[in-house]
Amino acid sequence: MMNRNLFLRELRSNAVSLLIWSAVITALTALTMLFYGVFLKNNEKILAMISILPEGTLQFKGISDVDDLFSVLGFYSANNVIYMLVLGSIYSIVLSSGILLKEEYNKTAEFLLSWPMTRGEIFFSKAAVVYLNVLIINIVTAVAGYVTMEIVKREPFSTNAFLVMTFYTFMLNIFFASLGLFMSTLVKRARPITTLSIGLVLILYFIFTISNITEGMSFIGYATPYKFVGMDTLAPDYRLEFISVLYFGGLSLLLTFTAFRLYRRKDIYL
Amino acid sequence: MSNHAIQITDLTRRYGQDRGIENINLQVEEGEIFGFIGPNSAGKSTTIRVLFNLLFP
Repeated sequence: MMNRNLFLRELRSNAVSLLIWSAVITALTALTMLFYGVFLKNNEKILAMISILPEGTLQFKGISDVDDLFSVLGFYSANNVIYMLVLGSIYSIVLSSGILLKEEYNKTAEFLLSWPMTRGEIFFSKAAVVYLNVLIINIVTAVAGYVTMEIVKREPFSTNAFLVMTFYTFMLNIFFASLGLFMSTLVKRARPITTLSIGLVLILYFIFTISNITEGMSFIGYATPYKFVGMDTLAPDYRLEFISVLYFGGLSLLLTFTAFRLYRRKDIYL
Repeated sequence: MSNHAIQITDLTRRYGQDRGIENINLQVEEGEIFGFIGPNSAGKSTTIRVLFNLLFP
């Protein structure tokens, strides 16, 4: 089902990008977490500052209660929303939407398809690289987050809640990776869809935020995958919801399988 | 079992109503030097692209 040479070649050609994205997100996470101490020390000033902001402002970071920010896990998950739920998803979708299409707009598809392997092998070798890279960036950033939390924490935090949040993040990134693969197989004339992919992530995130801050608009949040990500890490009943696992798992599988079916019979114009 | 390196039988591929190739038949033997010529829009590239698995019949 997979071609080892193609898998390794793709892994190598995407290694630099993975390294840069992981380093940037890790650095952002670590730097932000280092501000936690300062944040605690100036809690009164920060509360005063936050109080002048419109109520919905914090919702952009998925924060429902401002006090959550003063717990190390709440502070981490508020930042994780932007760093991994948005930036990580952008990385995932940009990588996946380009990995098959680049062969077409770089005019290398002719060479690739003359290799003695099936379209299925090409698809699964490239999809495996995408999923592995998404897994690696999630592990690297989660480890960085955990280590920095351990360094800056004043009180113990729930490792279980942290792992649940990490798994939600991973599932969301995998969903966007599958969506990118699917979108790239729909493109008839080869051209990069990077801008469209990034725009899609941002639009979905924006819709989710609007649904949170606008009364009576909660239902539109269900049109976005963000609604199915548990962000309230400090809630006593915070856990991996079955419906979310089903949603992300089912949709990711469906999108990947449909992408495979489409790619297997896709006409490639050069 | 034939020894043809390439064998195409009744290959048809259309772009819309008029353009495309219809009922192409050819065999290329192993080691044979095979000329494949034709005027513009005769369907040479389309035939090769189908052979390369870029397009489907």
